[in-house]
Parts: sequence; C-alpha cells; structure tokens
Amino acid sequence: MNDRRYEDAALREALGRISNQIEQEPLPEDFEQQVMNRMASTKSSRRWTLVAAVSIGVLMLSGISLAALQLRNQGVVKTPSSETHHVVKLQTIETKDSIVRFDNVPLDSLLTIVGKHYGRTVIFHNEQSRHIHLYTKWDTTAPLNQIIDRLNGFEKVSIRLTDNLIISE
Amino acid sequence: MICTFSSQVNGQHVFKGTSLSKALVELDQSTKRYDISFISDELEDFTVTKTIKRGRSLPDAVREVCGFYPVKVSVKGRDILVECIQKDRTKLTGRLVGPDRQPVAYANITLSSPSDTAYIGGGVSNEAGDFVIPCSAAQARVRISCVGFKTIERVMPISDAGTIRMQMEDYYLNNITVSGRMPTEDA
Repeated sequence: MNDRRYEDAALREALGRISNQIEQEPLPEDFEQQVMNRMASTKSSRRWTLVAAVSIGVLMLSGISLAALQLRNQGVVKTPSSETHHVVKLQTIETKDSIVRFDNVPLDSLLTIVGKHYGRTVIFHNEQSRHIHLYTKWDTTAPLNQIIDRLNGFEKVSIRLTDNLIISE
Repeated sequence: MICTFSSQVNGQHVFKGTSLSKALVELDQSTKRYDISFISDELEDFTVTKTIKRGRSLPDAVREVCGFYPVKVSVKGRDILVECIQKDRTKLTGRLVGPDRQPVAYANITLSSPSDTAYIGGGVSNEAGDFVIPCSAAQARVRISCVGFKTIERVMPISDAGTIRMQMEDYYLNNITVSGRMPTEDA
C-alpha cells in the first residue's frame, strides 16, 4: 500500500513537471541544429518541408485529474476532466528552397538561428524582447541586414548589428 | 507576359471568426509580391469575419481584415508589417447582439475611468459583433452605442464580457407628409 502511494506521488510530480515544460519550453533543445541541418539538406527541394513543428500543436491539457490517476501494471490510465484548458499555439519553422518561414516563433529562437547562419552571437539587452512571438520569412541567401531591417520595422523590436554580434535592445 | 508575382490576392478568402493571425498567414500565402510579418501573440485575440474578394491588392486586403482593431499596418517595399498599437496585455472582449441574437456590427465602445470619466480606450465591433479593446486598467466605465439601439453604460472588469444583448431604440416621428404628382402628357 505504501509503495502504491509513493508511485502516485512520483507520478503527480512528473506530470506537473511535464506540463510546465510543455507550456514554458515549447521548442526542443536541438531545434536550431535541426533547422540548420534541414536547410543544408533541402537547398534543391522545391517543396515546403516541415522542419520543426513543435510544441505539440494545439495542446489541450484537459485538466488532467490527478485524483483519477490509476497506476496499473500496463501503464497509466488518465481520466481527463473539462475544468481547465491550456491552449498552446503551434510554433513552426518551415523551409522552401532558401526561404525559412517562422510562424509564432520567439525572437530569441529566431535570432539564434539567423545568428548561427551568419556566424554572429546574439545578445539580449532587453530580456522581455526574447519572448516576442513573430511570423516572418527569412531569405537565407540575402544579407543579414535584410531580415534585421524588417524586424526593426516593428515598434517593439530594436536590433543593432556589430561586427560579430546581433544585439537586441 | 503572365505576371507570376501578382500583388493581388489569389481567389476569394472567407473568414468567419478566424483569428487575425491565421487570416494574415492565409493572405501571405496568396501572393508572392509581398511578404507579411507580424507579432503573433498580440493578434491572437482579434477575430475576423470578412470576405476578401478576388483581385484586392494585398495591402488593401490586410487593412480590410484588420478593420477597426488598434492595429498598425505599414507597407515598406515588399514588406507588410502588422502590429498592435496598444501594448496592454489585458483586453476587454465581448460580442454584441441585438434582441434577435443577430450580431450588432460597427457599434462604438468607449472605455473611461470609473472615477473621473477620463477616456482610456475604445474600439468598434466587427461584422460578427465581436470587439477586443486592449486596456491596462482593472475596470472601466464602458459605453456601447450604435444607431438603432439603446446605449448601454456600465462599469465592467477588463476581461471577457461575454455576449451583451442590446435593446432596440424606439423612434417616434411627429408627422409625415407624403406628396406626389400624377404624370401628365403634354398635348
């Protein structure tokens, strides 16, 4: 009986941790590398290729009722309740030829990908700007200032370039 | 010569309660002449109920879907940038319907301070009767007016106001004189 209580508590903790990760860290750690790899391997492709469709789409954590969790030998049986709903919008990065399309991607991730391509380090002076989610396109064959000029067109975004740095202010 | 980079939207686009960000993505994919960029998290609450007819220029189509929302549309060369003017995280949202439950479009919604009635924000309902007004205050005096309906005024929290039913306004005319002439033929 004691073992069973221990397992339930551990399960509760794990589920809490997973749901926090889903809401706070929608992109996998190596997604930038995935994008760069895919960009390199699909240069001649004529089709849009999904590179990173992450964040589990429209995620409906239908208020997983922890009280209703039952541990079985075969696994976990979850009974969802309809009390709470968390909707996380899909974040996608797609490539077609030399064009990368970012949909609902945080500025932080976007600049990291762009910075890697042009060999620049990204610095955020304004931490809040990391979390601005953007829809935009980037031509990987164009000079860096093209995407930066476009992003600077937004009132909320201010990015400066130096020799080796992309600085978000 | 066939122009493959037409500035006009490709085909007709029908949006019914579509989020503004989704509508912009669809329009972006309809032509290669322009590139649309926008700050997605700001536009998620705004909904679009509109039909964009084939042949509209993309900048015009974008302005049309943005409607009366507090959204800035700027066109720079081939770039169209869309962002919310008001940066407040909290928003007053709701839907206006008449006694017959039909949407009340183009109603004026004015937010003022409950204490001194100073203007703090405003907006207009769209074709579906939906409105979204960013506002940093916790509550506001909300005044909703539309021709043909009784004006509503009440203090509300800045959150989702749900469906607000407006009552018809009765109009009384003092008198009407109808006059006319029989057509005559000149001899």
